[in-house]
Amino acid sequence: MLQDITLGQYFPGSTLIHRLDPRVKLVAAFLYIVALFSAQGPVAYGLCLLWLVLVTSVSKVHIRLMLKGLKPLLFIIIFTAVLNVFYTPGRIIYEFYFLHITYEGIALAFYMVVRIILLITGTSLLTYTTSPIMLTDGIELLLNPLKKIKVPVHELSMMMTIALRFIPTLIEETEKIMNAQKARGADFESGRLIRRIKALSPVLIPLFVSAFRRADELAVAMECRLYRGGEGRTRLKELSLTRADYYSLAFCLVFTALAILSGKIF
Amino acid sequence: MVKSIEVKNLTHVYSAGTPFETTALSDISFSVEKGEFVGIIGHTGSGKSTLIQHFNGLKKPTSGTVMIEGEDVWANPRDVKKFRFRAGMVFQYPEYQLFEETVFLDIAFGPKNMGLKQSEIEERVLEAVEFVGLSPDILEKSPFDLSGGQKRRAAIAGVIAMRPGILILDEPTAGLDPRGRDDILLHISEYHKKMNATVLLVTHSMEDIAKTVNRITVLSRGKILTDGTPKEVFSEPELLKSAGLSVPQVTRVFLRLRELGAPVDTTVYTVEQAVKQLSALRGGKV
Repeated sequence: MLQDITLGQYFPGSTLIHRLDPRVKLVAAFLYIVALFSAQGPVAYGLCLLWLVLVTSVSKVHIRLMLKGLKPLLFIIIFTAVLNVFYTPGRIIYEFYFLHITYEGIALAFYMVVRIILLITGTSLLTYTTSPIMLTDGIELLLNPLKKIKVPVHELSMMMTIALRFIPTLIEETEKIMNAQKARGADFESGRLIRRIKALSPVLIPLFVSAFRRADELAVAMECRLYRGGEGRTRLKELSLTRADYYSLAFCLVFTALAILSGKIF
Repeated sequence: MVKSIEVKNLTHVYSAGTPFETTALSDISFSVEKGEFVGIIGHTGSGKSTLIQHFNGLKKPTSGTVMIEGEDVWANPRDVKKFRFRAGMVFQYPEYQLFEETVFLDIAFGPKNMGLKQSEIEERVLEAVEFVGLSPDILEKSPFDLSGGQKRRAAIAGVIAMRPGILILDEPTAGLDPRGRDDILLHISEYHKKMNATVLLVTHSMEDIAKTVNRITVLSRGKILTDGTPKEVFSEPELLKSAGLSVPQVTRVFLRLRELGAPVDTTVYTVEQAVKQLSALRGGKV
């Protein structure tokens, strides 16, 4: 169960997509979302799909991995579809007491599902191909102008880096503690909901205790290396935009413009 | 007599069918008699932890069978839980699993899950505390207020309170000072003797194992490399070296002495034996 979480996971590689500047990838993801939400009609969705397929094939991320990320959200996707099918007014195709299915409902449900799937797979591609450190570096640099209005950009990005870094560690720790409690006869798989929630306290308490301990140790380790926030801090790897970055950015802008315009034209 | 543990052709493969597929154990057959004290040693990644987690049903064999006290663990998958109480397992750094408000409640967690009566639980908790050498007045304290060594003992007591016929310990002495190590090993030996329990000790430390166990099983790359009494196993330093292990320090000293031409017996693996040997060399005087 815990191994299924692909959120925020990074799969190293050396393709063009992996090597792109994280800032470009972040802007590209943002443009992609804009395109997706302003898309109207099949042509616009088709363009988004084409965009996703192109980037995925260049990045060599396996299609199975992309679909795996959807699994935990299956319920939300189905829920959205059902809600849209039944609650959209329009031309009625089928009626059953208070339930009525409309032509518009089916169309809307279809587009919503496509939109969610494209949104999740597209944005997960960002984390699949960008290491957490690059990602937070990119965010920090993009948000840098906000420092002028006293937003603690560096601190926020450091917090994100640490949080992402500790996801796998905490998952591993949870498994260890669960095994240890199972060895003492703890039962996580049976019983009613309330019993199951109660059964989690032998896992959650040690997990919190160890998370605080780790946080404490990390803070001491950082202070020992004289960490004192972002001011005057230099980087080991300076990010700089290459020609490939500019081309990719231009490519994304064109696609976004096309997707938005196609809705207006067709 | 029924064997405590009997493993036949056990294979365990992780992430089967994915690119991350790794064989942790391949075709292992191994058995332990009732009342034996077995040391399991092996390099990191040799499959020790995977192997022992099969004994209480935490891991399911990819193929092969695991019999505990004559019963197949996976004969009825719904019944696996009962083997958790028969083969009590103490994980590495068990102090990180403490969670209750008081030490008493934490040690009582296992017995409570067994569905025992309150009076029986109390009796077992007191007994377990004594076995690990803690004083009963810490029972009302919070486990988080104990010292590191005390936490470790309290966690081990939590498993001993289930009175398992088989006690499995994964690196119980890791990160303790020398006195703490000796003390914990002593208490484990006591449990072994008094309860006539089968004990499995997984460790990296040759010194720990040389002092306590009466049989050693060496794992290497998912297979059993050698199996025998400490004397037999430690007489093959080259074989141990090939598995990334070594003989105890004292044995190394004696091997070197032999190389230098001293007439010593190289099957020495504890300090006591060494003292005896050396004093014999000097004609009985210590």
